Amino acid sequence: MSLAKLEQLTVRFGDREVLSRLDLEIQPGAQVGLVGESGSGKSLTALTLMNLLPERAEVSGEIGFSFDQRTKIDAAQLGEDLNFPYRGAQIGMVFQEPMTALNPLMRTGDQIGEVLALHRPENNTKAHIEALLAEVDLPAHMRTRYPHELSGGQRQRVGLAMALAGEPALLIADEPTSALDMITQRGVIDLIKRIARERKMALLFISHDLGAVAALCDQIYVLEKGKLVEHGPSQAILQSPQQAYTKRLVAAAKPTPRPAFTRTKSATPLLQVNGLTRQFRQRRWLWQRPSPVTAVDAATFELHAGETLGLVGPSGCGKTSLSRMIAGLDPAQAGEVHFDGHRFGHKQGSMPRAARREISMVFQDPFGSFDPRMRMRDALFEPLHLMPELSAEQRQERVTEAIERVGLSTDMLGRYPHAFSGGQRQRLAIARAMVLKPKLMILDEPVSALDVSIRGDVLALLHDLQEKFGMAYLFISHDLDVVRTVTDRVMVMNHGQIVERGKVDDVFDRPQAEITKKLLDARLTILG
Amino acid sequence: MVGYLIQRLLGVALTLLVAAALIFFLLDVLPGDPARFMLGINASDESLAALRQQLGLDQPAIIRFGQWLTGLMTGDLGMSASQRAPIAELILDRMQLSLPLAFGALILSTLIGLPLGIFAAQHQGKPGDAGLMGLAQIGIAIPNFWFAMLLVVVFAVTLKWLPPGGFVPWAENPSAAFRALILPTIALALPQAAILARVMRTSLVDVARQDFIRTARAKGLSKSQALWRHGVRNALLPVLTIMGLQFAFLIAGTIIVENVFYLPGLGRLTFTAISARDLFVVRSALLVLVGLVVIIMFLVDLLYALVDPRLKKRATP
Repeated sequence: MSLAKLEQLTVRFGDREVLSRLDLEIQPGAQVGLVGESGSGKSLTALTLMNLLPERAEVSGEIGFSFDQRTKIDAAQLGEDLNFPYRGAQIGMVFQEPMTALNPLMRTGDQIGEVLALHRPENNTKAHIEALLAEVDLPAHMRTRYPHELSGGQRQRVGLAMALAGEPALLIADEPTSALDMITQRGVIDLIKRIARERKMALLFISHDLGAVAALCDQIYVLEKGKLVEHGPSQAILQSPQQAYTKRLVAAAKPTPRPAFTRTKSATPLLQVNGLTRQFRQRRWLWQRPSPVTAVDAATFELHAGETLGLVGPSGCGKTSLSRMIAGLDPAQAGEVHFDGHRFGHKQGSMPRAARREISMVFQDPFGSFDPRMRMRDALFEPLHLMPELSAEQRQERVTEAIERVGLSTDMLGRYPHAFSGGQRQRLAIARAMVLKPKLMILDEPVSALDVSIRGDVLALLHDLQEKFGMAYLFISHDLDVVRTVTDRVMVMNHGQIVERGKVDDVFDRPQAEITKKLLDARLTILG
Repeated sequence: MVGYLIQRLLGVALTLLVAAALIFFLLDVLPGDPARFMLGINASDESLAALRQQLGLDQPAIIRFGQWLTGLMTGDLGMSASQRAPIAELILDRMQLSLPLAFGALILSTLIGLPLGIFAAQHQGKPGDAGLMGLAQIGIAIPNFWFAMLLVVVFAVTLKWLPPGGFVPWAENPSAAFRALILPTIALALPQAAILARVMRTSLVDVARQDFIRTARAKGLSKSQALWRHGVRNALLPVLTIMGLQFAFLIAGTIIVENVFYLPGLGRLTFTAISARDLFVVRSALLVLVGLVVIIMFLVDLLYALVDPRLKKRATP
């Protein structure tokens, strides 16, 4: 008999159907993966099981639980008024956002204790809270910490301890590791796996990442735009997917053989970075001497025209700080940059204008990197103020060319950023970087926020652009598989230092530095 | 925490010093000679000069500023020319009315504003919310002198429940003093309560959308439990800031309300001293008002650090 069962579940917001006739079944102790891209309805499925759907949702279908006894709920009755005793008790849930999912004003121990007080009052003791923390591999003194004092991975573990406190028979984890870096992600996934086994707890694991699902689950449901595409045992789905959509997802998740992302090398490097150092000064008191924190420690490397150089490392290793200095966005404390005959160094604003227009940046977040009150047209024209010599027609040509190159059309340009999808926005960000026809493009996690199926398209686009215009790329990513696919050479950073560098195959096949080995070990592939 | 306290206290002292300097030198450049004002238009030059010397007005401004500062420390602020009484005594006397009035209004507006704001947020989008926010809008729009007069007409003149104005010192008749302050406190508090209710509502509605409220509900809390246990404290942070800022407006409001109710408070003292060009009284009274505001801001900062652990972390090693 199944522990939880959804029958013909349909969720509508107004006339938009976001989940259509979904059937889903979770057996006791089973590990079920729910896979899909953004907007596929996977989070709504979880919220339905928790009776936490937004009030304006119109729901139909049936939900069955068999925890202490068998119950059947008409989904139309879901809502605040329904007597729903399972939330937090028989069903625990972990959410995606480690930064915001915990109350910032409350000690972690109290937040865990709250669940105990609600569902297991006899267990609401210091000892039991510490035991829960120990179960998620956190030391007992974390009990008295506030969320801001913890790292992302630690917060996610606290969230897990909270979900476990009610001793649930079913744990729902909604993208619990998507916001974490690779190494931390691996730790949390291994932890969830171990706890689910030890507690004989059923798991509904929601993710866009097939690798993570493959590592955890024995059954997979694939959702696309609110509809169930395919479901079955993990092995079967991953090895012989039946539906075109699943095949695409599986293909996108497998490390693909490298396309020819290689070009001719010039004798003199386009970019030469010498001993570039970035320090932040932290001062506790007005009268204290600030103690410097080194984010980037004497980085030295070169990059040739038309080349793609990968930059990888765990979060906080200094990748982004380094790239921002090269782009002239942040001042350096020491060192200098030679770029295309220009030299600039450790003074803010010392970057010559002529160099500025030869370097463009594409950022990770396609939502945050556009001004929401600026029409796309204006956003794309804006960089052209660096080229005052262009006439109005030439500007128009530049923008038209850029927009067509990224596969969009100019009649969309009157819209505001919110009217575009994530993938479209990232294309527009690339177009914005392109209008100047730069010699170097810095790509800071350009595909990390995108769904896997779109990722391939954007990478292919970057590849085409490089073929046509011969730009050099500095490609920053935490995703080693992507880096391997697109780069020639790679550098590995840790604690502000470049600890390893070389041909991408050499580095990944024969890693020398400890951190490289760790990063490679943390990968979750559907082959492994 | 101790370090944070010291840092904030230094800030308070510095603010007061800057405020004192501003008040002193601004009043100093104003036209008008206190000595001439005291002696009248027909006074002879000799007696004027003598009085100026006696008052220390012949000395350079910076010395007089220093003397005033020492006076502030020792409580000797000189004599008021218009009231013929020591200024320190005058101010202390008036404070027994103005302090209860301002703090009473602060407390009353909090007691009314916050619960209404929370109620409105909990019923967001429903008739209760719309009605309350409509009332709040009216409350904000009404000028408090007009509202004060309305209160007098209804409760003092028509119903005769409370006195229409005037004040009996606490020492003489505490209950009469209390009754005299009820209407002024309400007149002062209600518009502030309306602002607080709106701010509280907006803040709580914002917080209610945050992820940790969803987490709280996932624990098994109901919507209103989650809001009360996790939302209200988080929502209070921006409200605290507004409350601190509002206090300055409360102080300014006392000047108006004290005039409407004919209360001998600090506001009226300042007001009459300005009309009488009694600049010695004006500058000291002003500084006391500034001091009150600065102290409240300081208390708000402390409260902030108590409520929000993230601030404490930044402020203490």
